[in-house]
Amino acid sequence: MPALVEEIRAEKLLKDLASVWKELGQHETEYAVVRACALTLLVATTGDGDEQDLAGTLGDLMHSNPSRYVVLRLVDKPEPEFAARVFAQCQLAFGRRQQLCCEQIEFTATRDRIPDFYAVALGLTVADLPVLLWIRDAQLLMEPAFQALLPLARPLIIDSAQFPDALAGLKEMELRRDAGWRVKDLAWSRLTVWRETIAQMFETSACRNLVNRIDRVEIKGRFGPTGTDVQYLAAWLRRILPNAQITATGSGVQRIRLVAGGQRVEVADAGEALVATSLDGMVTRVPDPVRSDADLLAEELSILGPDPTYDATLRAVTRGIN
Amino acid sequence: MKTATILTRLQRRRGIPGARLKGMAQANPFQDPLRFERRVPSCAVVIFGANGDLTKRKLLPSLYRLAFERRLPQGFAVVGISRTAMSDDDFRKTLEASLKEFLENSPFDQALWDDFARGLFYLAGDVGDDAAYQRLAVRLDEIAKTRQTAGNVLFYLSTQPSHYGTAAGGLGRAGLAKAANGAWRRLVVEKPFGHDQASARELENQLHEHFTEDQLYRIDHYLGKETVQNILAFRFGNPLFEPLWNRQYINHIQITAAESIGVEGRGGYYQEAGALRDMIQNHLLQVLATVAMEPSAVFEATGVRDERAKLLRSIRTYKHSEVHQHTVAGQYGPARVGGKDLPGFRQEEGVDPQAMTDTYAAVTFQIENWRWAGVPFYVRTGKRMPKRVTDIAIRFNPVPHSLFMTEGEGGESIDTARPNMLILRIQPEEGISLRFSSKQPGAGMKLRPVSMDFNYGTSFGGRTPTAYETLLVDAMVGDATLYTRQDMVEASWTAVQPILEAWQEHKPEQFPNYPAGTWGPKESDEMLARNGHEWRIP
Repeated sequence: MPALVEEIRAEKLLKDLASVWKELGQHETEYAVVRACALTLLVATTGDGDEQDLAGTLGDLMHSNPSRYVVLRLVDKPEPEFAARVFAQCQLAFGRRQQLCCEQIEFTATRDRIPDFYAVALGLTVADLPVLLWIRDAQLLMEPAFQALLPLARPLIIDSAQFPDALAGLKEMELRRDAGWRVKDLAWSRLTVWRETIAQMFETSACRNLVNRIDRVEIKGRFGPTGTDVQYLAAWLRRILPNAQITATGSGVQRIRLVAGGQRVEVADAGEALVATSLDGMVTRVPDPVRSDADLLAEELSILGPDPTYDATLRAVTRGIN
Repeated sequence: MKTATILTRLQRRRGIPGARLKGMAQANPFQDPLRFERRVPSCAVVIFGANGDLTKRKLLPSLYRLAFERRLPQGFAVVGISRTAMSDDDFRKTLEASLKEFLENSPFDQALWDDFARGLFYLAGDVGDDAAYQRLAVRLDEIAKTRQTAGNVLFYLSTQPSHYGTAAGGLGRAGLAKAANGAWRRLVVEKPFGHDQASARELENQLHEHFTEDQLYRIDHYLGKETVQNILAFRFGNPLFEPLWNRQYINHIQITAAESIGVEGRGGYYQEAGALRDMIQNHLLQVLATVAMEPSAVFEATGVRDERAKLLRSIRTYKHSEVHQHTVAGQYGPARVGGKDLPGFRQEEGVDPQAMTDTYAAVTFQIENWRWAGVPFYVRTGKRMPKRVTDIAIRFNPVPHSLFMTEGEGGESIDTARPNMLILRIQPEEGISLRFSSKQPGAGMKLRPVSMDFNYGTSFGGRTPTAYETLLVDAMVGDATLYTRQDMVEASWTAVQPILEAWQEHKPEQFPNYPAGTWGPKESDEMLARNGHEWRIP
């Protein structure tokens, strides 16, 4: 395929989108077509092997967050490239006779065309609705050329589990947070079920009475070097239990144990469920289905304002307030 | 300052009273209310009528769904009570089968069910038998120890309404209405709250004999619907509309709750109740109150319910002689609809062939306060109507002087600008539409009404919790905002009782007076026409 460098204008793309909708309306006779949009989600990714994955994620996400999706795929090619196409994804909601359709504008660009994308993207965000930037390839956050795109959105969504050096990655995120961006991390959202299970256990009076006596916390990960997930959990628990000695190893949380003298409260991974064992020996099985990127994104998109617990935890990890 | 800002935001997000949210953060340091759902404290739910339809279709699926979403506490149990002799295991098997049948939009997870079912217990007993309550007390003590429920109990009366007083009395005499060591006891009562004003008061006396008002949770599932709750968000979260929300700008309001089905096997019950009692006295007057109430100072149970009650008390009580001018009763007759013969109400199973029951009721309510004086609130409900729809239409006043007149066939002047209309759609196709006038493209200046639509589905995909999920959590958490209070029940009956009495004394001569599959009797159209208004077609 020859390299494509053409002039791309936001107005032209919006006109193309209008044609897509017109065509959808004309050809669809059985089910009504509803153009749905609650926000603009900009997605930055790299390479060209994950189109299907990404399409699946955005397709799933539109159930809970119908949006205008603007995808930038950065590719490494010897010649400059900048191309775009528009299309719509439609889904028939369960039991409904209406198709919910979201529009998508997809760009392919070489890195030298990032400024061009920035200029076009400014005209593509939906007026008066939230705009978020999902940096699907977290490494982009470290790239100097990519910094030009950050002003497109204040909330930045990243998956810090992708950073080879967890602490360095989190520090990079904290820098953006300090500079005024609202940083969101899918690695943090993956921990919600763990954190919520612990919180639930401490609803019982037996466990609640134990809080001030917890002197040791063990967080064990399934894999080698300490990951951002385990670091987050350690920092979160350290803020709540400042007097406890906390050991945290590995990544991919497998078990959290809170010890108060001879008594302990534990949450452990058991395949598709978490098994929580509380002080009194009561065992609870909490469903923990694998959460897709779409699930995690949906959780983050439900918090568009400040997230004080996360912000404080990120700060605690990066500044070593342990 | 920062903490206060965050709490206010969270409060709005979760709809949690401020004081309670602050308490949450202090009580359990692991809580993150922004991400975690509202937590339910350790407790047991005791369901009277555990073998009944409501338990199988609504209560159990809601509790299971809450467990699926990890919203139930570790210390949680359900105790079912009904007359049928059954073991705990039999009860669990029965509920498992019914759950599989009635669970909607949720997967059935066998492992989760097994875990949930360990907290299900059964007690055979008659509501009128004091010994059953003694056995229940012993059982609850055991469960409090084994399941760590901390002695908290939510009693749910899912029985015949005639048993409410008996059950409350039995609980009270067994000492179950009060708990020691800071534990709570609450009683949930399903509507109807009496079948007239006198019986409502009698019920209240029976309930209050052993339970205080703040222990009583009168459930009206309409108030648990997301779309009804959204009326408050729409009105009080958007300064755009509230300044227009009064007699200066609003011409009249229409509230419609139409069902396309008939009585569906409930003929025996329905012929005693009728549309006015079954829908207007409770559900639709609550909706009306939500549309018309003043804002409360804070979003918490007492404030919101005070305002609702105040509004209900402001409804004009009709004199006997006025009732027929402002109300219409109807009953559907047989008809052929869509190639199918539909029976009339009197031909339905279990219905007296001479029944004078209203299957349709329309009332013009008037609210006597400064905000609403002179604005009619037309409320109608009926069975066997053309479609199932519940919505609220707010019709604004026409422009004071129209620029866009056109000449009619007889040379008369016709205003082409139609008044604005705001539609709050409760079900189905939940959303909000605003009708306004727009210039038709082309030469000249002809106006045509167009619609600006908000559809829940296009902005919030995802699953919406059912009304029972919302209300069960609220009761367990102790948030009564969406529950009906005694003074609200009384005020509703005060508005409805004269109508019931007038209808009773002067029975309609023309029943049935509307064919199945239509929008009701012509008298209903005439009622609006007398004010120069007409029913909209939803």
